[in-house]
Amino acid sequence: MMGLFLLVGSIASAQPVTVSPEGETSTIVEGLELTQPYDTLIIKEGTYREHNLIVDHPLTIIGEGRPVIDGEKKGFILVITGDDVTVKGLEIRNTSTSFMEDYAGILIEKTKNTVIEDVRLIDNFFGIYLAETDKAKIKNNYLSASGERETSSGNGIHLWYSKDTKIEGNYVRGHRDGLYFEFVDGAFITNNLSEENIRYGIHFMYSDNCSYVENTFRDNGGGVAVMYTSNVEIIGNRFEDNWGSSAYGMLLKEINRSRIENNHFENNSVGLYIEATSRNEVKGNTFRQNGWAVKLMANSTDNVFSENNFIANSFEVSTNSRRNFNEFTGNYWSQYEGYDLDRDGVGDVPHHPVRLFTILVEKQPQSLLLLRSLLVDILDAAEKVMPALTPETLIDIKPQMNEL
Amino acid sequence: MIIALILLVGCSQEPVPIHYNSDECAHCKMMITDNQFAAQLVTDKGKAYKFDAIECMAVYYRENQNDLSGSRLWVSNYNKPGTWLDALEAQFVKSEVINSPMGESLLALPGKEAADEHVEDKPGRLLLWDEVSQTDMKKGTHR
Repeated sequence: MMGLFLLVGSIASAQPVTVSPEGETSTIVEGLELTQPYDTLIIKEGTYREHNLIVDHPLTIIGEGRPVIDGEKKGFILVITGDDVTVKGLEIRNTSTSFMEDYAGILIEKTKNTVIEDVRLIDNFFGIYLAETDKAKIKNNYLSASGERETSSGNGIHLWYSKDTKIEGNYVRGHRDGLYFEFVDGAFITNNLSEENIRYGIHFMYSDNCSYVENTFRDNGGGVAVMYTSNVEIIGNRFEDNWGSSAYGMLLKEINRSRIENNHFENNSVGLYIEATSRNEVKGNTFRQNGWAVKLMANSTDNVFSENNFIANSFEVSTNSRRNFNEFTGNYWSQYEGYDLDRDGVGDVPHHPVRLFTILVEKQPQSLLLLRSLLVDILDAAEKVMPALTPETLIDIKPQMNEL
Repeated sequence: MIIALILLVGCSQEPVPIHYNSDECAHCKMMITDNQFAAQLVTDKGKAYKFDAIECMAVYYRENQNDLSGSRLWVSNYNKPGTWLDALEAQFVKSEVINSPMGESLLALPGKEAADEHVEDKPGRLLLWDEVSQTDMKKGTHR
């Protein structure tokens, strides 16, 4: 009997609470107060000028006709501290900016199973900020900010100490870093587009066991940075149009035991920059029309580059030492000038992807001026016959004759 | 006259402007964007090395000590972004709640008073350059 009452009670409260500008409940803060755990809150079309809206119990929030919550730069907008909260169909704009607080359009703190879907986040300091969360899902959201040149601009989707997050199909532009992960474990990031951010399209540090699959990172101030991390999978992504003195398609620093496969690096100052990075597999990627396809610092070891395409890059590989502890095998190099007399598809002489001139530029950047000069071509030709400065062991002994 | 000028320029170990969103950290290669955490050291020959975070400078300075002896070390004043403090005189806070670019959450303040004020609001531990200079960058040191 008691159970029946409870059941009836829960059905009664399962009626959604509705907020609308002309309705009985006209503010979201009132609406939230009326909800019980596991209720649904429906927000009708309109503009709500509210901030610091705290959701501390399980709840589904659904926007109908894309209502706008305008924080009027007065603080956070939505703050989720309860488990099992789902938010869909809203537009959230204008958080405060500050150099002391990380104000966010949606702050998710110490929760489980949060879902943020189909939300537009416009002109917020931080967009979606996850701190110490478990199993959140961030899907098909649109984040745009115009923090141009402001050093105080926040990140689009920011994760800190979060576990098993799924980030899928989002669009992020105009933030400091489009996506940012620090101390994150087991995230799966797929099908996102991150472009025109001030610093990096994606930036992650100390974040093990994450997968980045089929995302596009384009025209970001510094490209993409991946640091101090083990066991990541970076597969099928595009890194494009990152130009500038400190811009990279992807910057790898202290990355170990990871897979970098089938990615596309096009039109970057440096396609892939690698420093203090070991035991990674770099396979099946295409490097097209970059200034440098790969810059490989000599403190990197046991990385294997195989089956990659190097097409029309100004420099194929550059390094800062005559020593090399990495392996290049079975790649296609458009600058290869060898021949294939036995017609087995593999060049008969090894390819030296590091030009003498690359070494000169590494030591004396101003000499880049001579890039297209005859003198440099002659030097390069001489170096090929008798290597004196380029690393002797950095060669591909099975250069492919055709693109892979 | 020219010699005097060279000497003057040569001896200047004042901080140089950092071009945020364009300059690169000498240690970690990241683009420097945040004027609350940036640091720089200026050698006795006047060459400046710029860093995106205090810990980057600490590690770089330690690793290249022989080449950098006689350098002056500068850190951003967290309370007044864009202004500089002498690292040897600054009061540092290792914060529990403020994220810095490299995850060590080290910030610099002009003195103990400012630091005490800061930790009243946001928890953190006070330390001086001696201790900060031994910082390592490694995973999860602050938790």
